[in-house]
Amino acid sequence: MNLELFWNKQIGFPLLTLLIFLPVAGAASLWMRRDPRGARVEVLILSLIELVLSLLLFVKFASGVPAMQFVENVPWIVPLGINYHVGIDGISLFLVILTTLLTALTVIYSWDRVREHLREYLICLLILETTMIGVFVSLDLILFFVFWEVMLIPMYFLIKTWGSGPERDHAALKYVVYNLTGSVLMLVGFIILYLNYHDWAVTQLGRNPYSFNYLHLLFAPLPLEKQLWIFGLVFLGFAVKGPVFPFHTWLPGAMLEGPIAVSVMLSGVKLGSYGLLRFNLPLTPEASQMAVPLMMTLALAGLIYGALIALTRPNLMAMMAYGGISHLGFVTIGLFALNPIGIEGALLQMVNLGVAGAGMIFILGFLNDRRGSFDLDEYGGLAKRAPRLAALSMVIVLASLAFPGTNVFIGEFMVLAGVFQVYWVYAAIGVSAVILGAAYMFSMYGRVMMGEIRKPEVAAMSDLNSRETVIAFTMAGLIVWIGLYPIPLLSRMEPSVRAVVERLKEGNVPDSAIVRIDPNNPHAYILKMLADPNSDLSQTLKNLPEKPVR
Amino acid sequence: MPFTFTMTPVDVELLMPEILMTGLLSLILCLDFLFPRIGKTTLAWLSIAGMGGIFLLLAGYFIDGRHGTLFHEMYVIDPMAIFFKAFILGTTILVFLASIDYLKKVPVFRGEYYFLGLLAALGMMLMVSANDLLSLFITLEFSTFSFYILVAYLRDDPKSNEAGLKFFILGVFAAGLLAFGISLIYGETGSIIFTDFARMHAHLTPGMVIGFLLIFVALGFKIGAVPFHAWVPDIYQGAPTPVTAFLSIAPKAATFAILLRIFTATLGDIRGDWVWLIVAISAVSMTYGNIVAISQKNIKRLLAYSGIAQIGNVLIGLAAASKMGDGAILFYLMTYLFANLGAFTVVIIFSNLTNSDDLEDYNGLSRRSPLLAGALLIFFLSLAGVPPLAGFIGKLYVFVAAMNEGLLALVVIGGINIVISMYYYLIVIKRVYIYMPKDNAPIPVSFPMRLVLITTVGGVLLLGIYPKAFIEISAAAAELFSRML
Repeated sequence: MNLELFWNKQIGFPLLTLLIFLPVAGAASLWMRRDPRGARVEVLILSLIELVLSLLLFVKFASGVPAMQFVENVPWIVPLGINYHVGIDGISLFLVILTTLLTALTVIYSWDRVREHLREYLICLLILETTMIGVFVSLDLILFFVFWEVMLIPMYFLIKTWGSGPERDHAALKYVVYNLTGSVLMLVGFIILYLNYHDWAVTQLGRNPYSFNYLHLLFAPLPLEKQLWIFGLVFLGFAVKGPVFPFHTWLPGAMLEGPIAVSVMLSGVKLGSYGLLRFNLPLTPEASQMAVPLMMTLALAGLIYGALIALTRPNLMAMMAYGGISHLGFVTIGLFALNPIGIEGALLQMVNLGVAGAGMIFILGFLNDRRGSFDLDEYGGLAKRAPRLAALSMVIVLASLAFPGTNVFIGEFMVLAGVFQVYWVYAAIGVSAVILGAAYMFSMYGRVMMGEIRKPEVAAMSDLNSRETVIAFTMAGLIVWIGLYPIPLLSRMEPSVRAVVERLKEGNVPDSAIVRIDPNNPHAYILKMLADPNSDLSQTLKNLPEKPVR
Repeated sequence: MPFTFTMTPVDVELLMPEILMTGLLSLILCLDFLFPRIGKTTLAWLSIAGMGGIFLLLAGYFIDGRHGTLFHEMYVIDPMAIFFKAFILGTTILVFLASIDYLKKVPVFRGEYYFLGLLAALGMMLMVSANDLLSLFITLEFSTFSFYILVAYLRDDPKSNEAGLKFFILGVFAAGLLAFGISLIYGETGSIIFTDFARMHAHLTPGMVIGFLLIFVALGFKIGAVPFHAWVPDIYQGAPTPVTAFLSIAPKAATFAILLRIFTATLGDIRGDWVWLIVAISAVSMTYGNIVAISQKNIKRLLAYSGIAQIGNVLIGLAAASKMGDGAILFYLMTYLFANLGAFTVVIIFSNLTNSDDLEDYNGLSRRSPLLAGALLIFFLSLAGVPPLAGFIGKLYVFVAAMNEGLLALVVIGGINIVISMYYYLIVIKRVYIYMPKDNAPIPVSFPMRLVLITTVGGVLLLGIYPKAFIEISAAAAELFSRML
């Protein structure tokens, strides 16, 4: 986890910087554009370039090492130890690709649907893309926080201006207030971490005493009490964003009142769980272990609660919002299994549920555009009128309830396998939630697509047009592909996940017997050990056998 | 003690900025009444050019690291004082630029406006160098006096007159408290010089406690911290808007120079005895200012309450009472200068056209002037502390300084206040961007106004995106200041 491969070793140009700032540059150039068609084409091309660039990451990614890759590190605010430091590893790689993919699909989806303030809408989408990618690739805590916070602004405007619900004012403000509260507490946690590093660095290194560098912060030992504080504060930030039950109350509002683009991003891009995996587990390993019972309880409560509420809602979007909360519970139990298979399953599940969740939202968007309502009773028998829609949404629905052969099944299997190793009761409760999930997804599909056509409006509904087919087909294709052949994903994720698990095993309290090496100068430590005849290293060298052992 | 007045050439050189400033304002006054036909705008540009020159001189002094004391330690020039002098001059320059359009509507005494503004600036420049209680009292009154007149400048407007009267009564009251506090401290210690108190390492006697508390109350009035804030909203609303902008930044910054000298330099050794007071006032100011701001209907009152909250944020740095805290205060004041002055500039431009400060009239501003709306968005987001704007780095800096001294609870309160403040800033932004305007007339922005907007927006962005140089300046000023005493 502490290794860094710099961009110039891997590829000829600073790929991550390009990925982050290309959308913002595009947004700036949109100010000049007046014609809506030109703006649409420009943004579509931009988002496709982004997608291609992120796929380039996938191609050039060195699998088999837990290193941070494509790293760029430029001093930014030197007196406070803040750098422009970005990089990706197996944890963030697929989330970046998912972000660019969903943005591109959202642009296609919005093609002829958004007419009012089109330019501003596209600008918001592009800025949102920048901030989401920035969150995934930042290795400096302040840089991360910058992207994390800026994200609220385009989201606010998206919900507020292009939302469809009557309560969108309220929902937008609630979104900002909840998430801002979580993130300022997270900032406090970051500052404790930063000052802890400072105290350690002053005595150990005697230089470079301030740093927000994620990789540096991993090095400073943390007393258990501080770990618990930091874990709690940082967890609150990610739990709200997640959202983890019981911090979820803003989500249904934002999804119901906001536009489809917002719902896609909220259910597709799992920022909160990424934060837990990236920051909470490695930075505060002992505290994470202590928190397992609490985290499992919260996650399972969310899992069951979300599914139960989804069963009772007659509204498609509300159903998906609560279904999303339930799905997130699955990711969280996987993360806090704290073993390789559980965490890797959770990471895979972030991608899978992102695909399935966003796919469902697109389907709801198609339905709503035709019928103008999310009300379940307004539909019925649609399969007769729109066979293509029915078939593709069947694939997505099956994925959402973890049907074997779909991607979610694999993730769910891994998560449950991981959790079983910890405590079978947790896994048993998790399995029961799968049944509830199947219940609401099937009943929803049945009421919308099956049966007789009861409403004349449904009879007049058309099937998917070509743009919509592209979206639904991409989602369904991904679901089947990952479901049948997940190895390219798993092989890239595994080293990074293993590094996190190693870290959890080693622990990070001051008296743990791990050798700590100055991240900036690893040789100094080894030389010091060699100079000391009583050091472990010297003893080991002395006792080395004549021939190297194979 | 026999008082001998000596001035060496070195002393004159140290005093050169103030001497030049005195010359400049005398020139403006003479030009105004000797040549009544001279354009008032010319006077404005002349003062701005003069102050720009003095600003450069101060920058040179800062780089050279000049320092020294004058008049038997009554008066001190150190990097901290030079920083604040330059800060005040910068504020005055921007306020003058923003006043040019506004004054065209005022029928009489337009030349005197610039004279009084310069006089107030000179008073504050002297104030930040005060090194004993007596020079503190004199310079503080000197600068406040010009403000009494400036606040009541619109003589046909009852609100302005009322504000002037209120400001005067409260100001005189605060001056009384200050004088009383000084007399108590002198009675207890036999000295009035800050550095003497520091050297004495005296334990606090009851008389000194009361004395310093009285001084703190008087200074609390000047910065408008809760519970000494009651005058702020009324006077902000009543005063001419450029004066409000001036009042909301420069005197507060000058008072912080004094607070830094008293608290971190003089009483720094006994931080444990007073830190709870600053912590409490900081927490209450932030929370009260932000909560009351939510329900405001007038943008000047909204900015008044948000200013109270911002002062609470600066006080976090004072509570830290460390070198880092001092640097954080200086940096935060710079971010506050750009964002707050920028916001007031938007208010001035808007009210010049519409004669209204009601928030309702800001509906749909983005359709009438995308420039103003965009600028207001940036200023408000910076005041709220959204990265990557100046306010975020400022807040981060004071938070880190306070956490370094173990003030976790205060930082958490500060964090929660970011959320509260975001709420009302967003309400205004919502009006500006989403509501439909009643009147679709575009809002013209004149050249001087454009200049102020560009400077302030540029400042907010620069301090947010590349704050390295400014953090170094603040840290250098704080560093040398702490070493000097």
